[in-house]
This record gives sequence, C-alpha cells and structure tokens, in this order.
Amino acid sequence: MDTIIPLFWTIGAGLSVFLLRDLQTLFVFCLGLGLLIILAKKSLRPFFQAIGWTFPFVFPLLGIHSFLNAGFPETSRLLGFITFRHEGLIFATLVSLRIFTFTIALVAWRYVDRERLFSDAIKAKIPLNVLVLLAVATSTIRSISEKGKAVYTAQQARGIPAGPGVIARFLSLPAVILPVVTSTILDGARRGGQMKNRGLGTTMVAPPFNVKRRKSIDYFLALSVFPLLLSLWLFK
Amino acid sequence: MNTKHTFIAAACLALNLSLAKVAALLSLPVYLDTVGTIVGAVLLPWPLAVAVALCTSFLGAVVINPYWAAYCGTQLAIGLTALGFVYLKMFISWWKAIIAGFLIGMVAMIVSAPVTVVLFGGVTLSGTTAINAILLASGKSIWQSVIGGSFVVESIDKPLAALLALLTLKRLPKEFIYNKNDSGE
Repeated sequence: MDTIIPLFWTIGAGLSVFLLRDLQTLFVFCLGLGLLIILAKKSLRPFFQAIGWTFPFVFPLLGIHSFLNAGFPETSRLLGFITFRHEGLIFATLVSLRIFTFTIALVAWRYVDRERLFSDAIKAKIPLNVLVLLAVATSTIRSISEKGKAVYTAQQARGIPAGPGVIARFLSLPAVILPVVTSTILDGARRGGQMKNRGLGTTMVAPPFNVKRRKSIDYFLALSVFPLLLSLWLFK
Repeated sequence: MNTKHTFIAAACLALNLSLAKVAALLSLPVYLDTVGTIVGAVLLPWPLAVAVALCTSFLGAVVINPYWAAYCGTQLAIGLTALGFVYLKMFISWWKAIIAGFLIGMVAMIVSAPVTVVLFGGVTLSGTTAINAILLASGKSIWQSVIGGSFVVESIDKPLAALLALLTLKRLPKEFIYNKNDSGE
C-alpha cells in the first residue's frame, strides 16, 4: 500500500471528528472507509482487523454509558431493575464509530510497503537520526521481551521472592527490570560504536531503488476520503 | 549524526514498548511505558529525547496497538517534563525521583484526559476503565471519572518508572550521562 493512502485517511478521520457529529453520517463514513480499505488491499482482512481492534472498546462503552453513566437520564428499566439510558447508548455508538474510523486509518498504516515508507521519509527530509532510531528500535523490541523472560527465569532460580502478594511482586520488580534495561542500553551504545566503525552516518542515505511508481489508483484511494467526507457534511 | 546517541535512543524507545510485557511476568498492573523516555532525558540531547517520546507513540501504534498514536501528546508532555526535571537535577536521589515521577504522572493525567474523554468516551484498554466506570456510576461527570481513574493509576506507575530509571542510571557508567559540552562520540 502506498504511504499517501493511510496518510490522507488519517487526516480524513481527524476531520470527521469535527465535521460529522451524528450517527447516520458517521456510520456511512465508516462504511465508506471500510470499502476503501477492502478495495485497496483486495481483501476483507484489514476490515475485520479494524473491527477486531475496535471491539474491546465497544462493549465497555455500551455498558458504561447505556447503563452506568448517571450523566445521562434514565429512559427505561430492563427486567424491572436495570437502568437503561437511551442517550448514553447513542453517545456510546457515536464514540464507537469514531474509534472505528481512526482504527481503519491506523490499520492501513500497517500495510504500507516499508521500502515506500522509508523512501518517502527520506524525501520528506526526516532526519537520518529518527529513521535509524525507528528501524533499530523495531528490531530490538522482541529481543527485550525474550531477555526479560530469561532474566526472570534466572532470578527465580536465584530465589527472588516473586510473591505471594502484590507488595512482594513490586519489590522483586527491580531484580527483573533493571538487568534488562541496563543491558539493553549498554548493548545499544556498543552497537552504535560498531555501526559508526562501519560508516553509518558518514554519508547520505540513498532511497531504495525498488520502489514502484505511484499509480492513479493510489491517488484515487487516497483522495476519495475527502469527497466522501464533504458530501456527508454538506448533505446531512 | 551522533551514532552512539542514536542507538541509545533506539534502545530507550524499544524499552518503552516492551517493558510492560516484562512487568506482566510478575502479574503487576503497571505499564512502565515511560522508563525509556525518562532514561533518555538524562542520557541524550533534548531533540533525541523528544524524538524518543514521540516515536514511542507512533511505533507503538504500528507494533502494539493502533491507539498508542492517539496519546502522542501525552508522551511528548512526559518527555518535556522529564527534560525539565533533569535540568532541575531531580534524578539524583530516590525521593526526588519519586516526586518527579509523581509530577510526571500528573502531567500525563491532565494531557491524556481530553483524548480519553473526547476520542474514547472514557474507555481505555487498561484497567483504568473499571475505575472510570465506578466513578461514572457514582454520579461523577465523565471528565471527573477519567481524571480520577488516571490519578490512581498514574500515581503508582510514573513514580515507579522514575525510580527504576534512577536505579538504571546509577548502574550505567558516568560517561553515558549526556553533557552538552561533550564534543562527540
């Protein structure tokens, strides 16, 4: 996926917070964005991924605002004793749809072609420091989790009191976290020295040459979000 | 480009994104997603320290959960506050670090409240939602509930993160501490 697609969709999702404030228009906008992501990836997977990411918010939102939030007036009682608030349900649905629009845009970022993203970042004159920072951090994350598990196992073998009780576990936190943090920073500094010896930072970075040119379909998919948003805002 | 600083910044960024999983091994409800930011504020020049804070949100959105991006303002505020406390030499003793951590937590609470209320309707993916729900049911407004819930969580998480950052700094060689008069690598 080209970089401009999720970029414009993110901007569109941001504008929708201000322009689309009723359920119907926001619902249609969500459907429109969903259709665009299906067209972009020629697959339902990202759409269902966006639904999956949004779901953990939907039930708490509906539960809290439809039943618990005393800021909304009570409209009826379910089973004779459960307070139901219709305005809360409307509010929760509106927020859920808003979250869904952002989620679709954010899920789209996960499908951006990395070489294209890197190339566009260089063209946008993002500092080399930042690009190296992001690339190295991405590759380091998993190793930190594995290092943490190894340290935890080793410390357990040494008999750290990891319970019972919350206080004991809090007190054992430094024994697990500190070796991980310290070794990660020392490794980072050492790796920086090694990369400097290999010449990193002494030359400009050439963008990758395998990046495909943008097609008109990329522009269509990226820009479609704005006519959709405008038409819903004007004709609501 | 100062390669050593860049790679230390990358380590701090990666720590922000992965320490929560390490803390989860101990079944503790803490996030520790700012330890790297605080350590970076001491070890790095301020532009890189700010970059660590901002990139935590954006990279977190790609690697962990898309909603991390919504809290980029919070991470930025935490980074800037940590830099301020480094200037005030707050990360040299345990009690100063705890005070700094608590104040960082309050800044995080204030900056993240509008995002949680306006964008997420008072719901987050963490256990704070349960506290928010209790406060909402008791008649508090959504703003009071979100701020109340965040206060409980942040007043534990951020002082703990600051204390862990201080203990880390005490274990690192002194030449790691950033000195703006230092000419290079």
